[in-house]
Amino acid sequence: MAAPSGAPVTVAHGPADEAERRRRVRRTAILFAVIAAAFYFGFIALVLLRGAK
Amino acid sequence: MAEPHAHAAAHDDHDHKPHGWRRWVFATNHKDIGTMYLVLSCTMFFIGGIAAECIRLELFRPGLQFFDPQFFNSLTTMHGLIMIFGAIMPAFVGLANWMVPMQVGAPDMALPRLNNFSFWILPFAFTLLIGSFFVPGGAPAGGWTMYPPLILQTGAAFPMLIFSVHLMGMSSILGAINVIVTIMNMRAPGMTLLRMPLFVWSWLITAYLLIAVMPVLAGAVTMLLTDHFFGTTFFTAAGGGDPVMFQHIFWFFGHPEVYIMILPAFGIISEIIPTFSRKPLFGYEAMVYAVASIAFLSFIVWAHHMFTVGMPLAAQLFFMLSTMLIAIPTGVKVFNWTATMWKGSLSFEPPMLFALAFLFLFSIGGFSGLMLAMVPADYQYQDTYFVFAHFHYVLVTGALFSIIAAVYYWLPKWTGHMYDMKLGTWHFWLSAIFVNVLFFPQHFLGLAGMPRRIPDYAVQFTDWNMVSSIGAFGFGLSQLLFPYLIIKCIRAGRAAGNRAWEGAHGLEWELPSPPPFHSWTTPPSDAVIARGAAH
Repeated sequence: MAAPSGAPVTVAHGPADEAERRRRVRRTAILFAVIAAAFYFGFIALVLLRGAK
Repeated sequence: MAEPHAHAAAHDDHDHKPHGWRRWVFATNHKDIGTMYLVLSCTMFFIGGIAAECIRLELFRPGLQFFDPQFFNSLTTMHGLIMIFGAIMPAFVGLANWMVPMQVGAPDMALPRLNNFSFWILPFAFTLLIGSFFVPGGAPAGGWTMYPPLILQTGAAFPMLIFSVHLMGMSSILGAINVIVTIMNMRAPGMTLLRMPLFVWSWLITAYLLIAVMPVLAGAVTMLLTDHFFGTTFFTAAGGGDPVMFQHIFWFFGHPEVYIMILPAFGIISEIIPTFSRKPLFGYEAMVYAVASIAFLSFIVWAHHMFTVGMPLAAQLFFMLSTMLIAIPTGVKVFNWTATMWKGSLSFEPPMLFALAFLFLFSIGGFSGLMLAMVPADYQYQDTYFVFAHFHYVLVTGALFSIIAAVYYWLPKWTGHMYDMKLGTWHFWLSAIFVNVLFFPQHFLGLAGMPRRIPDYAVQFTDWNMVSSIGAFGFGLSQLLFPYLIIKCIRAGRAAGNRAWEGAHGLEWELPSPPPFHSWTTPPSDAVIARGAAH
């Protein structure tokens, strides 16, 4: 099953695209880091506090 | 002194890489980190495998042969922990590292330094875990599920166990964040969510599962830690605690964990079957929704692991029925894989052989899972070798076979060489035969009432135990072919083209074999993405 050829393999990707991508990466990474840390430490704190009652 | 232009040209080729030990210790390249994950996984697989062979050696005959019961229990505990956290999970993370950026048209993972940190946590975690064999009191022996009060009797190894579990959990969470951020932000323009390969989809959903449930495990083991060292009595009945609560918390993590180990396998099989059937995947969107449904259902079935500890009838019915519901999306997947092959132009290279074995043998594990889901039947099967046979069909012929299939599928892409097909086929047939000799008789042993986790057994179980042990020795030995074949392929072999398999589709097959150090430094065009789309 040969793939059709002739189409350009890559497209242009300028510095503005790269800057925007970096911004989005940073935003998503911070969001998920906060969610994961809240889950991680929140769950530990929750069980310890409830257990201490 | 080198010409400045020559220096600039060397940097423009995007293929400069550090050399020596620095390349690996300070690695930020997704392929290097993927390779390190896969090497770690293979090492842990053989260490866990040695533990398994020792277990089967002891069980070859009734009576105590080689190990005292405490050490035998340590072997079973460590085998479980090493295989789950050391072999299966890092293998899938390694495959994700290698393939996700290439498949979505990204130059690398979104967070390369975090990627390095996620990996390098693991050798320390496993040094701690395996090192526990050498401290007073020996390695943990309370089972991989770490149920109290038994696990609280662990000696000096206890804090090592808890710390290593925390480290493994953190590594998984950091890896999961990286996968999500990469898939959400690094896809090439035109690579829409519903154009992504199934492997990428399955990993995206797995990553969400990891972030959701790893903290639960962290909480559970922290409670164990405070029970052991700080005088709390979360799980000690004498102090008003409840040991059953640990089981609920553990399995709220533990059942999604099973799917963390099988959803990426579904993604891999969904890549391989269309390639060797030379047909697009049947029902792409249904496959995506089926994976998502299985992930959702995994949160509401945990108590089927503990029917016999006692719970209200309504709870038993709820968990029984919710467990049976999982058969529906799983059935959709098996149907779609079969329909993909229907009237396809099939060929049976090693990846396809392992994928087909997955299809048949994982289904056996699924069917025995349905039997275990039935409350009245589960009262008979609980803690017998039937359960043992069930989850080994799921995790060995399911997860492990899919990992082997994936390595055989992408190895020509990684190395630039085709491997020895005959040797790969031998590896398949030996594995497929011996794995059934090893695990199928354990169904009979379980139905006849042989309990799990015992170093000695009643004489009526002797014959099937001998058969099972012979299967284990054969299976273990035949796995030595695998690293041999890989090393042979890395060193030499017929050159693999960009598209190593005739029927392969996807962005990774548009890159040279082996791919350059940085994969897609400029994003692939829409036409290239369209012809590689999974459907």
